[in-house]
Amino acid sequence: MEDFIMGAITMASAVVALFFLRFWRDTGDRLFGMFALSFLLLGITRLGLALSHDTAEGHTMWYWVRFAAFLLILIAIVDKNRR
Amino acid sequence: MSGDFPAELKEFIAQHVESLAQLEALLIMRQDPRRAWASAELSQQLYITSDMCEGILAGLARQGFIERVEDVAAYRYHPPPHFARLIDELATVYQQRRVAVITEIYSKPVNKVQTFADAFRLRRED
Amino acid sequence: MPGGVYLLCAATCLLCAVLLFRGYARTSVKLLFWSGLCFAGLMVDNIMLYIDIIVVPDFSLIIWRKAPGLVAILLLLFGLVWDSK
Repeated sequence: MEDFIMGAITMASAVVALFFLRFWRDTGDRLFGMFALSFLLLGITRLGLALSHDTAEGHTMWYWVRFAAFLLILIAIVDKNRR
Repeated sequence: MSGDFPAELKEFIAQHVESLAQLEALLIMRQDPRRAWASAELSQQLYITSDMCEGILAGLARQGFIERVEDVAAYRYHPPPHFARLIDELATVYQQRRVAVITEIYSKPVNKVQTFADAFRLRRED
Repeated sequence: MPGGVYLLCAATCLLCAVLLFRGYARTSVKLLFWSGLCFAGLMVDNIMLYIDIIVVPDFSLIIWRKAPGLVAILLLLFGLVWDSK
């Protein structure tokens, strides 16, 4: 069940990332590029966690990937407001 | 009469014109390309607040229609040639068929994707 | 340090959710509403992760914790499919 949920989140994140990628192409707004990358990273995190069967999310490298994903969103917002 | 609007201008309005105030600002600045306008001055001409005007100017500058004159903290009309031609045309049409242009500005569909990106702007610009 | 990072992630999500809901209030574009819900869900996801790992480390909330993340991302996906054109 857990793996199934993780897989579903991974797929959904990947599709969301593709949407943002298209928005980036259509509008040329960097914010969408960064959001795309962020959701891709979030998807990869779930995949990595499911594959490694490591439930202690606090101690693995995936934790840092997850952190990077949210940091990217924060950077995107700051960037949007500095332009 | 708004149906036989030149397609080029329709496209220009759809892509670049966000509000009537923005268009008015652009056209006022076009009258004298050498003059640099501070937000406070222009806002009096347009009867809008200086804050709102600052947002409009920043938006126009981002699109490359006006340029910032650094030492006086003001902006000057300075579009690239192909846009200059379109804006000239738009100015003429706006004089002759004001209502048609205004209708065109406010009847364009909202770009939902752009509203997503704009939601992350902390300060208003419209 | 790890705890702080989860809370920072949660705060980022909260900021996104607030901005998106504010945008929705202004424009009535549904896409912003669904996106706002997604980030609210991701915030819950991060807070639960924090509680699970930092506050009650001996007791795994893993199944409960996955649900908000899944619901959140599905809401965003729905919004994107339904209302991005």
